[in-house]
Amino acid sequence: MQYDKRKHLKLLKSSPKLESPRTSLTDEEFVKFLDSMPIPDENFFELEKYSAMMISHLHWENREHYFELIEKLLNGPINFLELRKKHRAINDAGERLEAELIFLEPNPKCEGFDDLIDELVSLFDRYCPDSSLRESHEFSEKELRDLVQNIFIKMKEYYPENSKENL
Amino acid sequence: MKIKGRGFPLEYYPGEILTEREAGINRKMFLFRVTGMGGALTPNVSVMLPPPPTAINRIQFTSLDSMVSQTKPSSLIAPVITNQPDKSILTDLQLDEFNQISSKFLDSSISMDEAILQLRGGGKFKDISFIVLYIWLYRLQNNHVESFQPIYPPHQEWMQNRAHQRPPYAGGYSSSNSGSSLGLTHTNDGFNELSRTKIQNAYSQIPNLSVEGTNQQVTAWSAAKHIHHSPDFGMDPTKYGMTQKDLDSIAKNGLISHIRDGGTPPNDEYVKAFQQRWKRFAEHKDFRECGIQTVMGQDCHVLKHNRTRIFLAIKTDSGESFTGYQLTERQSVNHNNTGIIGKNYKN
Repeated sequence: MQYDKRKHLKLLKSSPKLESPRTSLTDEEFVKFLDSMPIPDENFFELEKYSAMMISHLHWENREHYFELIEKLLNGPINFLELRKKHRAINDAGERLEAELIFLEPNPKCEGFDDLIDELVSLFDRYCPDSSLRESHEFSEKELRDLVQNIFIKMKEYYPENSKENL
Repeated sequence: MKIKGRGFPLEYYPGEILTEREAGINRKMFLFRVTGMGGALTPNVSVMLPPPPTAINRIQFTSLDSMVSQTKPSSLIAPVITNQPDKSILTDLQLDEFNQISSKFLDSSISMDEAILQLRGGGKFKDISFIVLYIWLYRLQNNHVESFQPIYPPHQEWMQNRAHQRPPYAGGYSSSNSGSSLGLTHTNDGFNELSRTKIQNAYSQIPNLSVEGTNQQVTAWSAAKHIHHSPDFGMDPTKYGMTQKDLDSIAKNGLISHIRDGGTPPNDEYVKAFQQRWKRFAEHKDFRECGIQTVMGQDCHVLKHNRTRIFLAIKTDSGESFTGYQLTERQSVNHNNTGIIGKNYKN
């Protein structure tokens, strides 16, 4: 799917403004919040794809910092909070830009980078260092390190850091 | 009819008949309880005694009032017997005597045999009283007093939010902490299976919530384990005595390790509220029933609210809640395309 800035803008303008749920809602407010959302239509799903492309660009633009954080994690203790915070901050930033109708033309080279970074961050939800506590879908430290290493190799291969030849 | 006249308080012998006056006095009977380690007995408080050992279970303690109501001699008509194993009659002197003996017994100053001898010595305790006290000591010996103390579930104190308090079985306590009396000792190897079970059981005491119109259940344990996702559902951890840092710690270490390491456990109020939030989500009219899909390698019924990208997964095998959070835009797009949330790396 090719990114189309005009289409993206049109879809954003025509779709209701989405608010992230505030983190202090009562049950009733939460239900009202869900009620306030119109039933998604085709435009919504198309807009979601454009949004994902723009956010992917933001992740890709920050890949050098991501790489630093991943290397730090692989070479030291498993501490992924910094990586997770970075990931969340970029997602939030993308949503804020959209909300203000500020666009970034995604670089075609960024395609798929967000898949890998999302995959990597979601691994952390399944990390359980203590074997006696581990459930079948969860990973040991070694398993996690191996998986992170594999994803990191792919990232470095397909999305090299900025250099003269990449500029 | 044989009537015995004695000073106050009266001792009661099975089968004897008391006058109304004696009965009136005797109604001021003493009940006792153990108030803590050491077995101090205090009058006028009633608690249930544990059932005696099988060998002497046949002996029944007779209600005084039921005896008083009898108008015929016991030799002609047997008194109406009612089980009332929580009452016995002890004088102040007897209570003091027994307290001393049980204290010595508990601190191992005297053996069981010596305690029995002392109870029998001087004829201070007779018949039923002696039997009750014998049972008492027997149980003390076998159960190390715990049977006679109010036993609270280990999680009770800390789960009802004592924010910033440690659970009794978290590591790092001195030997005087109640954690050690539970037989849970923290080792350098980490938390043992028992401790994990205890923590899980503690949360599992909170009842499941049924999702209306389905056979699905939102369990407290799954909600507690994924409490770090509660802000995705519009919940504020600070309302429940926790911080985002606590949630980060749970996300990073898992709930059990977080508690083991002395982190603030999510209290029952928080877990119940999150359970309720999941239930309300699952019952909302606008979610998309995605059918059976793979979530982190588990077959689940997936309920997704497309606009917010929030989903809730219910395990197909058990019908119990598994996890739920807000997907990123990309994860949501991928989920729409593939029906998968989180790759299955295990197979």
